[in-house]
Amino acid sequence: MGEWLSYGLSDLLLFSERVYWRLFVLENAALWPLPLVAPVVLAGIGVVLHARRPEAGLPLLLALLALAWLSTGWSFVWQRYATVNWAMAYLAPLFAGQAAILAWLALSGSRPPVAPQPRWLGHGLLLAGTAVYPFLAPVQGRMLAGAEVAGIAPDPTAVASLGAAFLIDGRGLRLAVLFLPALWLGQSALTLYVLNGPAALSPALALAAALAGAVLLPRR
Amino acid sequence: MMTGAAAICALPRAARAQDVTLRRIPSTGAQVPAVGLGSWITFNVGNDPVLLQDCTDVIAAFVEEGGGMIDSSPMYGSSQDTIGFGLRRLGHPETVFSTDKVWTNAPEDGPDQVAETRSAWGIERFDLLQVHNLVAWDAHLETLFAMKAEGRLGHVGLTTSHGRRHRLLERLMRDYPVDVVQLTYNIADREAENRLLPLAREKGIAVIANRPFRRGALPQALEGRPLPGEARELGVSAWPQLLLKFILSHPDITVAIPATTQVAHVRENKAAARGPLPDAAMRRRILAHFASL
Ligand SMILES: NC(=O)c1ccc[n+]([C@@H]2O[C@H](COP(=O)([O-])OP(=O)(O)OC[C@H]3O[C@@H](n4cnc5c(N)ncnc54)[C@H](OP(=O)(O)O)[C@@H]3O)[C@@H](O)[C@H]2O)c1
Repeated sequence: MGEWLSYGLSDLLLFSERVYWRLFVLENAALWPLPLVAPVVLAGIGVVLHARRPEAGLPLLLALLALAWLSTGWSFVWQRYATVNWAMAYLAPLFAGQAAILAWLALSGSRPPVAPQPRWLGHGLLLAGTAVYPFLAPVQGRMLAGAEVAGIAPDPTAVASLGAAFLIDGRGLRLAVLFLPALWLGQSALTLYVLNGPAALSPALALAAALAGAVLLPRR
Repeated sequence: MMTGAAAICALPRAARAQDVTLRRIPSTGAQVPAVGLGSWITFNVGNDPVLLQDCTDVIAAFVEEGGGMIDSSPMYGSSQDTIGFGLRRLGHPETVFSTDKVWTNAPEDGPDQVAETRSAWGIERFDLLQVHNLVAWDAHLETLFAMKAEGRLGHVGLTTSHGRRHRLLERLMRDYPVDVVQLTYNIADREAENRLLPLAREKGIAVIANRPFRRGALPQALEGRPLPGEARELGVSAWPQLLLKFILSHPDITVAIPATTQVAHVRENKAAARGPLPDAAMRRRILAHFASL
């Protein structure tokens, strides 16, 4: 144990920033045109449909997110990220776990209870994951081809899921949906902090907003 | 792959006599180029075709510059596969001194891991296998010594880094007939000078210096800083080469294994072994200059 404590965070990362961002370029190219469709569908269902018909929109959004966690966990985390980071082989099954939680909420007979107004945090995080995240690539000086896209890449999928959690009423259910995305974003923020520094801001801010919301928003 | 004495036999006699860039492993007499190639982080590129090609270019340049030790570990993500990819593309150059490690807490998994490592490289036999970070060292040493005795391995080694577990390493160097130890040695990390390097000399153990650039932090910190006056005498115009010359000039250091993603850096690093190396007095002045920065 004492020896492990003597390792800095950077000693534990076994891949470079260049390799990390290239993963998204390759994943987007392999799944094209899904990277264009997935965030539009998620944002459309999540915000537009949910805002108009919350009771119908929420199960659909959760079902789509379940699909997104399943495919992101399998295709990106397991098949791609784990090739450069063996720790991902242990985290990939958690994606199936999150997919199961979301699917259960979406498909179980009784509809998930919709959170009462205000729902701005939920809609805000959903939009951050689906509409804002892809544009972080050019803002950070990378090509749009390597954009992190909800439904394809884990971070924006997790951010959008935090948003979905705040559209659900009930503390227990909300926390069940929040837990794994928050855990993922925490490790992602640490990884990006070591790789690049400023790039850690996006997952860290989303996580901070969700934690603040979990503590401060009215709950029943 | 270069196997023990075969490595030196592959070189023309005249080149052998003069080549100051070759170093000898005392226990077997095998000779290896003084500058090798690490693969931690730099070669962990997964199955990215563009980056695999970049790494192959680095290996090709390394081979063109004389080849030598390429060091990897099961701990290094896809680095072993990347090396295998490159070597297959390059037709398994004779001058590569294949160097890898065993790294598993489960003693019984050692032999299977070695078999996987061999298959990743696409070779039959390693020139050197080391117990990585002394993990489960007793069982793995037994495996490796048995492989060596059966002719299935050229050399047996132990590794550590960042100055960790030096006491245990010292004990093992005294108690076991290892051919090679790998430890961190560079201008800023010189703890090994106190006990381990003198012991290596006494026991006839070759020493590989890892983290010669402190994972790139040293060249980065020294960029733009004035070189000491000795640099001109040594024919050096940049810090990375001076850093390597400093390491290689220690009489008990056999090989340094800088890692890089860049062809230009491989060539620069290989060139550091050529030409004069600092003598003891110059080493002291270089150290004093470094300390003053
Ligand atoms: N416990 C162990 O067994 C252990 C522990 C640590 C290391 N090792 C071995 O030792 C090897 C070397 O250590 P390391 O990889 O940690 O660090 P290192 O070799 O000290 O530094 C590597 C870094 O130096 C930069 N670099 C290389 N040549 C350069 C040059 N000519 N000019 C400027 N920068 C240069 C590289 O960047 P560019 O890509 O830009 O060139 C790379 O980021 C490892 O790869 C590994 O094989 C073993």
